[in-house]
Amino acid sequence: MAAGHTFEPRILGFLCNWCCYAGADLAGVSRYQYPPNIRVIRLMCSGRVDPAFILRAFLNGTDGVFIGGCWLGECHYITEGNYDALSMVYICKKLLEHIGLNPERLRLEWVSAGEGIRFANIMNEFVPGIEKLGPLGKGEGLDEHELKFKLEAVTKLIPYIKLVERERLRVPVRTEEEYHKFFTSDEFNRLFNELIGDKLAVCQIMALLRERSLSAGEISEILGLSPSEVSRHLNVLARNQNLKTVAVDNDKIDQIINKHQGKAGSLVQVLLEIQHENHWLPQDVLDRVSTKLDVPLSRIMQIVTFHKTFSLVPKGRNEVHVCVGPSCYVRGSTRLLDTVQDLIGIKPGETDPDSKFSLETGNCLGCCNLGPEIIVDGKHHGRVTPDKVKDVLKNYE
Amino acid sequence: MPRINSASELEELRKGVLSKRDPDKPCIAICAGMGCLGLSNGRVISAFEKEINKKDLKTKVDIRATGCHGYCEKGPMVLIYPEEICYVEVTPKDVPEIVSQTVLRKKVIDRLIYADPDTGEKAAHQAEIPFYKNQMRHLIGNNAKIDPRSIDDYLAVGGYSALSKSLLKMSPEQILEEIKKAELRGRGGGGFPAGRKWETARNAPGKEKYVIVNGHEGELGAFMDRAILSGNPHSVLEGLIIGAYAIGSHQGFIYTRHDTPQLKNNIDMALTQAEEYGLLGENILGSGFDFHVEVHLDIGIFVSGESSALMRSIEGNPPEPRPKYIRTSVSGIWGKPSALNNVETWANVPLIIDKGSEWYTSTGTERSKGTKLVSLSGNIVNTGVAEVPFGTTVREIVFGIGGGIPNGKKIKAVHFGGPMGGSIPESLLDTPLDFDELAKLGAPIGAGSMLVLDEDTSMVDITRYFLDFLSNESCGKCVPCREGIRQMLRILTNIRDGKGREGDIELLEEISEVTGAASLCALGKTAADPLLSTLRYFRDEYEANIAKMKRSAEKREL
Ligand SMILES: Cc1cc2nc3c(=O)[nH]c(=O)nc-3n(C[C@H](O)[C@H](O)[C@H](O)COP(=O)(O)O)c2cc1C
Ligand code: FES
Repeated sequence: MAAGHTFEPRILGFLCNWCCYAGADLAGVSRYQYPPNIRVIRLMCSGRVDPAFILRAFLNGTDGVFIGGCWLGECHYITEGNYDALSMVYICKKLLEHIGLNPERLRLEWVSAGEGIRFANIMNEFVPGIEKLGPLGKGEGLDEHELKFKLEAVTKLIPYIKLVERERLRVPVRTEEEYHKFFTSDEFNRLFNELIGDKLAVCQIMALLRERSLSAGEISEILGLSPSEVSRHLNVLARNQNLKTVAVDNDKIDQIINKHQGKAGSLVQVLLEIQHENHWLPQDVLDRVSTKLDVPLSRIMQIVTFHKTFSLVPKGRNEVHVCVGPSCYVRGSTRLLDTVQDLIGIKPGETDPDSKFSLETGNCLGCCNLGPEIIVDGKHHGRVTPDKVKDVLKNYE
Repeated sequence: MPRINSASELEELRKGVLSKRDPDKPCIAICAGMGCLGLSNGRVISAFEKEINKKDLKTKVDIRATGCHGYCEKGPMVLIYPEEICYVEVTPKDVPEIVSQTVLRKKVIDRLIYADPDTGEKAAHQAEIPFYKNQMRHLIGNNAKIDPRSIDDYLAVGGYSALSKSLLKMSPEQILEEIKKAELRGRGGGGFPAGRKWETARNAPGKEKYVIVNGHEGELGAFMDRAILSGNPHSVLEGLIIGAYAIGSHQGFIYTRHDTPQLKNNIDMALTQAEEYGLLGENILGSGFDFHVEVHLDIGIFVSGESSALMRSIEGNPPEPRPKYIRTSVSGIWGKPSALNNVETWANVPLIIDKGSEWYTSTGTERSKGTKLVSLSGNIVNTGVAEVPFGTTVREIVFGIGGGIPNGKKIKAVHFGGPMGGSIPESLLDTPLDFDELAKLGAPIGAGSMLVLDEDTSMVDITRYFLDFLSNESCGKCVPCREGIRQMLRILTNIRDGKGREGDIELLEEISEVTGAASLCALGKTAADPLLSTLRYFRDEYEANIAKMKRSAEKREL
């Protein structure tokens, strides 16, 4: 060995119990030779591999991650977990690429229980490949701090990414070709950038600003984004009051908590009041309520996810409610809702990209004489025909 | 403020309040109810204030922002006392004229008074307007005479005399007896006798007991509880204190909507004022009886109006119902006996104590006594809150008070009780308003919302609408409700969209039976009620929708 020390890649394997793990076992029993770098974690199904596992592996300095499952169509569960693994790996590769890591560091293969030799062959190929890429981050020219920062930002987004996957990135037909076609299409690229890329940028900006205050130029340099992109994100954040609420006004929250503390059922009242003041419930606030009132976070989440009164995401500057109570319904609220959706370009439950409007449908507020009606920021606008609604909405900035 | 320590002091205070009031002094009462809110009543009120200031009339004319007058369709409403001239659909522009003509010169402004849309007949006084003429306004009548934020106004109309009578002259048993004799039935939906519920709570073991006002009013299209609770909060409070005394409770809760700030503000104000006068708190009216009240807000979930869910919500838990093998009147909040009644039920209590059960039972039908507040909405000319004696026919309410159907359309059905109610067709409109009569027809009265549907309405669609609502509101704790509603909704959606199949109706009936029998709380138990009632009266519509599908399928096969 020339330099006295060689790079020994650290590789983590997630193998499904029924096929690949048995395959690897067979490789061993049959005395096939392959590099000993892989450490194996056995799972019941390749579909069990959560993106968080992969990111955690990389965060802990693993240089490559291998996932092995049954051949498509042969998963041992009717949910066909290996298709889930397939789409998850496509998305994770995209994510790795997005933060500047080589997607080759992640590999998914199908190995049946009888294919011991196949397992050994794959390892004989994968391990030297990683060796060539060099240690994680160093190989790509990222310094340690930057690497950690980026991986952490992605990790934070995982619940959101899973949601996007479920709502927008699901392939309707379960065949390998269809998956390949979709995940290599421009459509996927577009959706990824729009839904995940932007969010990731925002997430990183917020993480940076949480540490210390920075100028737009500095942010663009650190994150390798164009200045115009950074300022676009900053604008949205500021209008959203996100920049402000990142540092939550703890005194105010404490005031609200103290006001109700000790009283019966204080939890619901505290949450309602914070929602009313702040228009949404940031995670740190929920944490604070949890500690101060000494109730588990799970119970808080049970309440705040029960109804749309509570919002876990920031709302737009103007909250538009279209009443869909029965009286308004028979008087034409469906058409009114359609018009509002067209006008502001979002569906109920959404906030537009400029954070100008959030749209919700509301149930009867007892002003049936006004039907159909819309309520903007608590102000009732009654007897609104679809052509009148434009005049109502144009008054809001 | 003086603290009142006895009945005579209360009467003295009342005399003092009345002596300061000149019955001939003009007073402008402007509706500040929920329905008028969206019609810019705020601008009308401030226009009056400005005008009165400008003309330097502050000492000569009173302005009063009152609770809902009921006739929301024609809001904002303005009543000019002492002549009780009633102006409808008033705009800020009309204000100077009203002050100079009507208030100062007693002249009626012709263009602002009510004119019948059919006959053109005009009515200058509230009592002459057809909407009001056919009502019996025991509960809501005072709304126009009271500023909900002034306890003196309530005292001026005789408020809290029932409380003083109860606490100082009657024993709890006597009150219970009186309520039982009045046959007061719960107005929140079930129609359960209030006297029996109170008695159960009173006799339940344990020292600590609670009384609760259910002001959640989740029923879609119902808005009468709000009208009372925000327009005349003291009447509900008075009933609550009397009930607490009868049951032996020292802590009450008012549970109400978070999305209507007016409600909480007016209730909080009423509590503060009552406390200052010594009508609430320690040693009420010197009787030795202590009682405190807390206000709790809902989080906008329909099921939190259900008794056990509501109590869990007050405890600070998510509002999920529990099975009621043991009644909440025996084991409610924190396992203590808790008597829960609807806003309207409580508001009836002072009336009964004041005027006696005999007077009370003289109105109504065999098994439903007194009056009922109903809210009219949907395809109807006069949207609003009306109060009628039980026994009034549905036709009278819809046509006599409600003014019939707009745009010359014919009526198809009246839907009672929101998502857990049912519809009756045109042919049954002569049914009297009565808990049992309507329940027999499959359209229980519920809290009193009446949704009027015209001939263009598809009954399949409206049924689907209610199930859609319930599928969102089901808490998901029990499977029959969660899944049953979902599957019924799916089938109905198919039928509506012309994808129905033969056998769907029978399948719906089967699912509804299981859902009704096996669900945990009344939400699931009654979820299929709109479906069953429309299947009962409008089955042909379902069949026609399905047949349409079959025909087009056959055509394709040919
Ligand atoms: C799903 C559901 C929702 C209800 N919502 C209300 C409500 O909003 N207001 C109300 O007074 N009662 C509501 N009830 C009825 C209450 O459970 C309870 O019967 C009533 O408040 C008792 O008062 P009462 O005897 O005066 O009617 C609801 C019941 C169910 C099952
Ligand atoms: S069981 Fe092997 S991939 Fe699902």
